[in-house]
Amino acid sequence: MRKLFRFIGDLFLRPSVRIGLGVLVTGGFIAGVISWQGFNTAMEATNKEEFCISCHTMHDNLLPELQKTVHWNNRTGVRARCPDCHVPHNFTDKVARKMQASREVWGHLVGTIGTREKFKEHRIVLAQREWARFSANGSKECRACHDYKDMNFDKMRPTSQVAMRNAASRNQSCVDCHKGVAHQLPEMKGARNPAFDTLVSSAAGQGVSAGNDYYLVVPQDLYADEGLTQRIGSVEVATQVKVLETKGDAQRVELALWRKNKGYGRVWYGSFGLNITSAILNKEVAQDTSFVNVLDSKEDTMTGLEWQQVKATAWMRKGSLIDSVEPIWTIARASYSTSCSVCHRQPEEAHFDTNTWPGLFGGMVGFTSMDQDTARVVLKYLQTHSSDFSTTQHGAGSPESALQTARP
Amino acid sequence: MKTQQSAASVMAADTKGGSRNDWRAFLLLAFVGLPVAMVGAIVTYGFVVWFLQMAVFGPPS
Repeated sequence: MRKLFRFIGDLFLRPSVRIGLGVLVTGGFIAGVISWQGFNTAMEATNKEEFCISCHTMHDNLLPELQKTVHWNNRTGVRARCPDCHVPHNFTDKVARKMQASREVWGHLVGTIGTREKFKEHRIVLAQREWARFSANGSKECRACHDYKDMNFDKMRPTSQVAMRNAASRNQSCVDCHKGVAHQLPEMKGARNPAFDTLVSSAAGQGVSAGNDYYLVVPQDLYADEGLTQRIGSVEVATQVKVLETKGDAQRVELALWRKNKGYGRVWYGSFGLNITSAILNKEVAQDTSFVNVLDSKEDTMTGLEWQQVKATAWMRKGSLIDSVEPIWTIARASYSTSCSVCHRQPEEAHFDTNTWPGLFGGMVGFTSMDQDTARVVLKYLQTHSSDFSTTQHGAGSPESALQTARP
Repeated sequence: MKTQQSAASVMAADTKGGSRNDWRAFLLLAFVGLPVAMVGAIVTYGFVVWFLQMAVFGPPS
């Protein structure tokens, strides 16, 4: 060890006896230039499209998608290549990203997305990483070519002008709205919202005692038998159920809900006159009077439909109940605020009534990137915090006192 | 006396293939050692910035 230090010390500190100073400096200078140029060439080589698509996963999965978009082929022939969007342009961030690529090399060696199926399963994770990156830097890479201050809004279609002028005034990150502009949008249906993990783990640890009411944290299948083999329907998230008993892996729960006395009567709702879907049963089961207990019947004056108060018990897998519905609403509220305020200020939950929300929500959810599970929870949140339930100036205070008048 | 002697012995050791040693050290250092050290420094810089971005600062804004 000491020999090593002495060696290096001598190498740097002992003056050269034979070779001239100028020779040494010039030689060092030339070596430096060659090294630096070599480094830059290597950086550029790994920044070329050919390099990116030399991996089969990129070539087979992403290249065909890119080729269908305007960033590949367009009227003016000005196009973007892989690094233009995906590699930061400034030196520090670029080098950091290049080192981060060691993870991609690892993935290539291990085959993390080696097959089409593995890729499709994993792509939402990859997409969310990129969306987070674009969101954090305000879509800086897009602005290398598409800067707001250089945009001529008058040349856009009228509908686009409205959205774009708003975005420009907020200096909004491009990818907030333009997700999937260069590749296909990942299938949002199967996407996981990590916020639900905390709910699921609290539900797993929830102590459940018979005779008490609990709330579902995830949608669950309902079964007729303790062995959970005969599926008879499903129960929605945030639905209130009363637990009757727990046997092994299964729990017997009681559903006390309302349904419309029309057709099979298999969609069950949380409150009278309000379309808050709480459970859906199979046709035969819904019509089975031994299974379904009809307690009461009432006409909804708004529509003239007869609603029945119904009760039934069914088995479901245990481990998905919590004793308070508020944690679910907290997640729903957060999702609502982030997803629905990107393009416009989000409406107050109590601005609309319960039965108006599904239509509105259905028309808007396509503009967001909410996955199906999150979307259902948010809709239920909106409905249960709508004007029918709210005590703010918007609301009636409770469903019973909601004044339902048909307009003349 | 002592320093003179050690200087002389160093000189003596040097003259045995001395200039060849010098040239070799120069070439290896300039074209191999320092470029490798430069790449190593940049790689380390990249990793440090990456880990800082992951754990401390968040992605570039």
